[in-house]
Amino acid sequence: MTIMNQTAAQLRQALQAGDVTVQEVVAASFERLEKVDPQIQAFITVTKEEAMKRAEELDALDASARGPLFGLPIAVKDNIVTKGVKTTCASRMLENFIPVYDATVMNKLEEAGAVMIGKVNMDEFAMGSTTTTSYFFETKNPWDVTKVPGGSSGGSAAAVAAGIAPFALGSDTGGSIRQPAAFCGIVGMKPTYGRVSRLGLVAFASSLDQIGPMTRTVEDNAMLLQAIAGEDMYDASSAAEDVPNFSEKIGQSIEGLKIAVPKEFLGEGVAADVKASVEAAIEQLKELGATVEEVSLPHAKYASEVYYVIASAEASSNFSRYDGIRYGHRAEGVENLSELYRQSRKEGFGEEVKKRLLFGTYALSAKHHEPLYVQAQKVRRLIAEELASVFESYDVIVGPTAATTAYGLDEKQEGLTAYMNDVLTIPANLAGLPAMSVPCGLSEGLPVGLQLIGKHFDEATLYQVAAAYEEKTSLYEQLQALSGGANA
Amino acid sequence: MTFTKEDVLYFAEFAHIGVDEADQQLFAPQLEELVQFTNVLREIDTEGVAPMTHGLQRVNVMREDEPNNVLSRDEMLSTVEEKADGMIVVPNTF
Repeated sequence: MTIMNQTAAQLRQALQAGDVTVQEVVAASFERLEKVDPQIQAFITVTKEEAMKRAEELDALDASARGPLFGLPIAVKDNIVTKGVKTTCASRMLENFIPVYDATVMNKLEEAGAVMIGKVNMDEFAMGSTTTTSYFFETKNPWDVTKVPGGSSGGSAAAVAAGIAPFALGSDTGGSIRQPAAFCGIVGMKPTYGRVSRLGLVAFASSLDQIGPMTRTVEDNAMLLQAIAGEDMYDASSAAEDVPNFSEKIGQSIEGLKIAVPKEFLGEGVAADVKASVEAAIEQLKELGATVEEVSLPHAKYASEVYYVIASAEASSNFSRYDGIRYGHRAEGVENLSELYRQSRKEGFGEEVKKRLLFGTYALSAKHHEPLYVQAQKVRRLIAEELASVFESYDVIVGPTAATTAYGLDEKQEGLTAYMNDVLTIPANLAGLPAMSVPCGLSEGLPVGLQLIGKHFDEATLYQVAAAYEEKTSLYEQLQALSGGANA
Repeated sequence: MTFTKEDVLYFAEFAHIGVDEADQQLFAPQLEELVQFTNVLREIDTEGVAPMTHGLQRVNVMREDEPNNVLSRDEMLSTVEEKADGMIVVPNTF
């Protein structure tokens, strides 16, 4: 087995045993990157020199000083601030922006001994679900390079799926970790809101954004979350909740666990092949001893509308910092301050971003603030309460992650399908619940994702169920064997 | 509900985003679609429901008012293209 075909857990073991050095692992990572990235274009910035230097330092460390992610390569979504390394959010606005500090998650990764190999592509400022709104280039799905990897954490998902790094960090505001994880056949977790510090995550919608781990296996995912979670004094929205051992229940039976499947998640708009794959997965969960029952989330059908109002409104406020004064794109040849602002923002932002900022501004304007924005916040509570009520009687909610498998780079999702995509992922963001996607099969050579949503701060149970499913189906091994193009 | 080119200009002024004629043509129908899409929210019965403002309900999180871990001015300006006297140089726009 080549180095880069191993899971993070296997690599960690090999590194601890001295079977391989950090420099060898990191070199193998770059070798794979140089071979495969020209076809998938996941990376905006590659930090080879820094990474190799760090690998050398890590190899010289005393064994007792090694952290839990010692020597493991990681790709980082380009909306996470990295000191001294360009952080662009895939936007012209921040094309040449070099941060002067590290995000809290980066400090934690450093402490844990991980090695960042580069910054990966995304939809511009995280607004999108295909990675095609990136200012720089499109990222391709490693399973089929004519298809989207999903978004907005498309680069993160592609880098892991292509075997370039066992770890990636993504961010999820309305599904941006889970959906690309589903499209690329990997494991992606959006933690409970507040579980991971947002200090250094370029803000899109502050009440929804979360950084999360993207990996090939459930065990790897729990390992990465363990390293980045925790209350942060620099993020007042981070939770005071203790960080448990996320891996503790991995390997435990799910006998007697109660699973709810919202009927709205398997309705019209979900493709037949996805439905079949997810239903088969649900059968597997029953065979493992879980009880499965249908429930209803009547207000979930408004998730998309609520999201567009709230996320756009919060973004319109957050993005006022892009004024061309202290950092970011600054227009030239302007005559006054007002023009400086207008031109810088006109030139710096892409179309999708502008559209959402304009809509957010509209939603917050005097006439519409109460009947639209505040109203959306009320419907948000209704959706959150319905989920809370389900969790009074059930442990986990299960359904598809996305309505379809990955589609063509030139295709556009419309109507009921686009709508269903939002209905599936957004409720977890609105309610702040942890939610993950695990691969549950292939359809015409493209991965299908199973979504699991848990109670607040109960990532451990999600990992328990996901791991039980992963083990029973040996899906990871199957995917590795079949991924051909993805891991060739 | 409609969203006209004038509306685009109006809200763009608020958001300090320059829009030319082509932008107005582009965004008017897109925004009209979004407005109509989200209009359904206005009709939902939310009597007695409090707005949900945060992902996690924490009350004002405080710490002692002691400066710590402050970036030096040099550090803060280290990646600024043009600086002088410890400040960021901006165009003379007044």
